[in-house]
Amino acid sequence: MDAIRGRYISICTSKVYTQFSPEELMELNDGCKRYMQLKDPSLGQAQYFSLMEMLFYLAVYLCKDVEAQVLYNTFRDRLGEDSPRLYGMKSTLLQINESDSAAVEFIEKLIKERLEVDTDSISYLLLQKRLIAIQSKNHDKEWVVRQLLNLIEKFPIDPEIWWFAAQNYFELGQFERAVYCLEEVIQLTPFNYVASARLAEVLYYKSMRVDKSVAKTKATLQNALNNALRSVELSENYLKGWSLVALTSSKLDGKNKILQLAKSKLQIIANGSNAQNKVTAELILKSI
Amino acid sequence: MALLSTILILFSSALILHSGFSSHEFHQLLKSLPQDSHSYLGHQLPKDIQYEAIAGIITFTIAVFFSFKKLTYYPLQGPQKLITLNHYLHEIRMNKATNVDNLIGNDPYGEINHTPNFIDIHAKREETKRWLEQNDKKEI
Repeated sequence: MDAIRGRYISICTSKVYTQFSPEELMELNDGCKRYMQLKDPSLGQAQYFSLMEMLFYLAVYLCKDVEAQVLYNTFRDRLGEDSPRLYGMKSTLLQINESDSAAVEFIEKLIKERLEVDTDSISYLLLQKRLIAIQSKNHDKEWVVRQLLNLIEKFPIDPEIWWFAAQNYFELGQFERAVYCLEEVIQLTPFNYVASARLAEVLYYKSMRVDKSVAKTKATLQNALNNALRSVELSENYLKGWSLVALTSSKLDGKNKILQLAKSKLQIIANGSNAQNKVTAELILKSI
Repeated sequence: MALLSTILILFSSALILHSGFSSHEFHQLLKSLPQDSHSYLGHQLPKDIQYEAIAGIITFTIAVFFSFKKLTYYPLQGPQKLITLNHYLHEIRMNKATNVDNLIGNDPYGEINHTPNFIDIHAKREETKRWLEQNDKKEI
């Protein structure tokens, strides 16, 4: 039971379900419902509500609109409507039951009438993010970046906005700016080894596509290697980190020892990790 | 192990309670003696009660260690095969502790790195609808 509970809590807290395929979402939705029917006594109340919130978003993603509405009503009846999470859920329901413009209207009205003058920065920030997410469909990436930068002016210590800005800059091919945003993420969450590896990845792409001179390419690759090494320093068996260490060190002169170390670590991951990591590590070992 | 530790915990609890009760009885008996008598001045808790209490505490400690289970996890994605580690306690050093996250495919900073608040809900729903349509076609 501990392992099952741990799985659902990890999925819920890491929000990895937002990246799941429909098939995985379906499996998660059914499994989580079955688990919650068991009424596990070790499940805390906060964890219970978090799982319920996850079930709401799963119902939304899986087009189970009635189920989502029922879950929202349960939350509203127990906790009231004035909460950042409930605002987010309501705007989502408006999006799917009515239209995007109804959700935008709801958020803008709430911000204008209450949140702009309130001290509730959590609701304000969350709804501003939702607003950008809803409106981004009708605008280009430059518009999204402009909105994100405006939000960063108000909330410079929110790493999620920096990460999303980095993602948008990366898709626009503006690697230098993406690097800057990721460096901000690392400053805000210094132990975020995933961000270090992502930074190394962006620097690697920058060295391959943007940097013209050999000296500049080498300097960028060295910077990428340093960041990849930082990620594996924080997480010993991090596959992406070691892959980037191997990749960048193979492109630099005099880094044979690091390359050999990376290969041996990748071999360890290929021998003893989960099925997905094993296959990926083997592929990387073959390609280097 | 769980059964053994339960039996040991019950046994050690009985030992500790019994030694406590015996000690109480002994002191009640001692109170009934005249305070200047030879046996009152030279009193000491009987050895068997002392040994019983010590044995109870040692057995209880061992039982607690026996109650620890090996750490088990399910991967977050992919086939649901139970992963049992050869450890009883979580690692303290961060570079080792995150190995579990790597093993089960968890990102401890996912709340930032997956940008959950910027998800395009309509795109997710479209993806699901397409998948459901494909599944329906396969079933037909």
